[in-house]
Amino acid sequence: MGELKKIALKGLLLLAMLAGLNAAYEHWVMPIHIAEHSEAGKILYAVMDTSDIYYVSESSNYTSSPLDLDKRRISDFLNAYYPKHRVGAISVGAHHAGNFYKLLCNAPSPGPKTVILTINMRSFDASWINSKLETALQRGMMLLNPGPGIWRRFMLSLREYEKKTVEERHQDVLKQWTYDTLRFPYPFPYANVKDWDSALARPAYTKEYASFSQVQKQEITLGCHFVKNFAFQINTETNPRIHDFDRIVALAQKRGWNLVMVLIPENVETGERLVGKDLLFLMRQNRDILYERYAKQPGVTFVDQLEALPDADFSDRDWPNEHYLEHGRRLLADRIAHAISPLYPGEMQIPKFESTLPKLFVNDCEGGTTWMNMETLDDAHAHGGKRASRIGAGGVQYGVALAHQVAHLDTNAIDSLDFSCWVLADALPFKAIVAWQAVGGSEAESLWQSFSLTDGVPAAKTWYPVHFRVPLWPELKKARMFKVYPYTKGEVSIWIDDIRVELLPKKAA
Amino acid sequence: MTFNSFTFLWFLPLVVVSYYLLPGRWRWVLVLVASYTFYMFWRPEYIVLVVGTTLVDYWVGLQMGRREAVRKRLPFLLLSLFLNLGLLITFKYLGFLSASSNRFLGTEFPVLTLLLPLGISFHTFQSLAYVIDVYRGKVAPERHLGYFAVFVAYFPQMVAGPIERYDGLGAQLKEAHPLLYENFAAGFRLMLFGFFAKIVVADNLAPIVETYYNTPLQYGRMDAAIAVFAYAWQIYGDFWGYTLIATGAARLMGVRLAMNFKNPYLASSITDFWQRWHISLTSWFRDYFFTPLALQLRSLRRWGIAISLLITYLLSGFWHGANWNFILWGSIWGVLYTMEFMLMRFIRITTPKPWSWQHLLRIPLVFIVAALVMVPFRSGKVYVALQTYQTLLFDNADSKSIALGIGPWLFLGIFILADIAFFNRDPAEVIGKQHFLLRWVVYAVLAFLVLGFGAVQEVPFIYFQF
Repeated sequence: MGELKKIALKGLLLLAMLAGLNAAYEHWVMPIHIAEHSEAGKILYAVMDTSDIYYVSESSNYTSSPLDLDKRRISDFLNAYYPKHRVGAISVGAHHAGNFYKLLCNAPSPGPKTVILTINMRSFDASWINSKLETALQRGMMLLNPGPGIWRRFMLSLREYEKKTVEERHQDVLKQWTYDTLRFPYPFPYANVKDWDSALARPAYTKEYASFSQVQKQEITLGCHFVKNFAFQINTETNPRIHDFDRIVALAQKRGWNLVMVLIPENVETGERLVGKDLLFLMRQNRDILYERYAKQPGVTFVDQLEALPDADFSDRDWPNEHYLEHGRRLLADRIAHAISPLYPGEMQIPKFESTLPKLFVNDCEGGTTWMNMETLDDAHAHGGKRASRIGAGGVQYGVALAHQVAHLDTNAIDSLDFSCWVLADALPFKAIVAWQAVGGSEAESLWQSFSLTDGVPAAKTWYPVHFRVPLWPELKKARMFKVYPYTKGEVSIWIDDIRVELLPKKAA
Repeated sequence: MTFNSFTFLWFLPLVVVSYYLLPGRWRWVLVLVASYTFYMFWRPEYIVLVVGTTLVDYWVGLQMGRREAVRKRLPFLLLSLFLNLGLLITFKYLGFLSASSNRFLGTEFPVLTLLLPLGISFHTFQSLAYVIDVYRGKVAPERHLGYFAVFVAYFPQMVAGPIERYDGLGAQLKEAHPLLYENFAAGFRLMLFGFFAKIVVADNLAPIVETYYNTPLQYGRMDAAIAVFAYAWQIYGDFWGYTLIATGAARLMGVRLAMNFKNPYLASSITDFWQRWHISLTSWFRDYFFTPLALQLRSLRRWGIAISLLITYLLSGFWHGANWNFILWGSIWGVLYTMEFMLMRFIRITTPKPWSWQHLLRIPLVFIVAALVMVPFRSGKVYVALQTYQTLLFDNADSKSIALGIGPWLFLGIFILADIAFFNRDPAEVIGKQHFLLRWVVYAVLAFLVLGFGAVQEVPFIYFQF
């Protein structure tokens, strides 16, 4: 008994020591470790003491599109409506409500007055719930879990989080796509996602597929992605996201926050066009489930923006994402600002956003401009500054490119293109062009013209100017995107620098 | 299940508490169930191999025990060798042997890639040691299948050693182990330092080593030297850390496992190094391979010993892994050890007094040699090892730098200081003899580092692959 008593006493002493170590760890080390190991936690810590409105979201808040000149986030635009307040963005790509709940648990007391929380419909789907990124996300959230800080850190080093392999997660997704039956109030030919997806993909396995245009092929793939991401019916009993949002609502009610739940826009226009009204039916049905569940909760403002944006406001063309172009982000910010105005009576000020899409675009090829293919910048030659866009011998065919949504250009007011740049070729002769192209929309597919860069070349390794002015096509307004870019298929290295593209108004043409 | 897992954190206390609640005669049942459970957390089906080895060697032991004449025991020894080594060859070497034969001899054998059963090299050697000892009449055959099964599969040391002998571990398993504070304290100290060595020191050095070995051609001499230096400490921290946790876990149940490391980087010669590094494997090879071989070659006098040394280390390299890099590693050690042995004829290499100036001068020399010989061990491929040696000799000017944080080096500094303090002594004993306050400061520092600074990325125990 004496030995047992000794062991028990030392055990108690050990526990006391661990409590002390935990206090020291939480005070001195944990903030550093959160910044080091948790992107979400780092963002939370950065804004939590200075913001009275939290904007909690996945990547829908911000943009990485080269089409955007104004990179401000939705939360930044929103803040412009409430200048007396500070909207702190806690936006981390690929995160979901399960992680948002853990993040919000770490918010200080009294904390924010309002939490704006995005609801991403795709996050209820099997492929997001079982995403291959989930293991990394769980690892990043370990330090934000409840419990003593030093224990959480120890569990992180023991990798005590759900760490299924990519293959295991993939199997889970396939299982749900196969066994979750889709129910419609009318006859529908496909029982589940797998069947529906197979039916949509069937043209890709026919002989005629070879003759399909690139756009047609891409649309088959994209249609399948839409089915795989949106063809589901939320089961409020079993869907883990429902559980997560329920916990967030309960937390907000407990902490006295105004919870603004924003069902963010999906590209329903493209979804309907590529898949049909049946997909739209499911999306709307899911929206109604979420609305019914949360809109009437005390302290909750439900902002339904599912169908708020047209296709032109979405930046991704090969995946049904919630990444919005500047116009879409501004529109969404405006909707949210109006929705929360009852929470801040008399405080909302409508900001004047200047049109950010000019008609003159300049790229000095130094890296500070948001054009496409900026990875072609090279410091071997430069006309002005230190770098120029290199194409040719390295295998790179396309140089830095200007690309913009046609919907955001004032196509009624412009009718010609004025282009100038400086060119240097490593050797002569060579073949290269500057092309301008309208992309998307069946009529616009063939709208493509070019200007040769080989005219008037004085000598190899010498900079020479290129300038031309050409009329634009009247059908441009029917296209989705407008691009201008240098191109070569040859073996000679060519550098292009100091590019200037101006869309001229009608009178100047 | 691995020691650095949450599962082990509840598994071990559960086993230890149950162990002391059970009467002595039933403890083997608990430990056997615990050991098989521990193993089956990895791949349940592979327990069949462990059970198979156990049954065969148990039966072989009994049969040999019934025969007085060594000659009559021989067939049973051969049977055990055939089955145990056959198992090892099938799972570990068959793929390598057929691939090598196809490559160098132009044969077309199918190349099998079987999943290597966890710890097969360890428990096979442990079981073989028992069979050979019974054959030699050194130990009596075990008649209790349960105790023998526990000996083969004893969970603290089953997957990566120390490789125990039956007269060591086997005998202890039968002893009554009363609940003693001393065992708990020693076990706790060993495990705490073991976790520090593994998850704080070794695992935090691992990214530095990995960064270099992922793209060795991109780095210059300084980075190669840093990676070589870091790996020498990583493998030591990793393996010694594992051993300490194993030893500590066994000690909680009153069992003292063999010492596997004795400050190898404080050795004063190659011979000394091998008396301090992976001692249980070295002594296994010494007792069951080197000595019989050297006796066979005794007519060659010193050359016989030299040849035996070379072959033993070549085999030791091959034991570590079915790959040319391990063979190269073993060969280099064999050559160095043999050279030192042969030189002893001309130069009198004595073991210097600890911490004398001779000892202090030799420590860095032996360490540098050991660190350099570890290169093929980590490289995975012989050409990567050769590239690293080339970079160390002829600097690669067009190189980038490994990003270095201060943390891993700080932890390593503490580890090296502790290693010096533990010189030739049991760490648990050294810590236990300190003043109460100092002892608890040590506990606090180690616990703080283990709980708060363990590496985040997964670094499996290096010796689990063998």
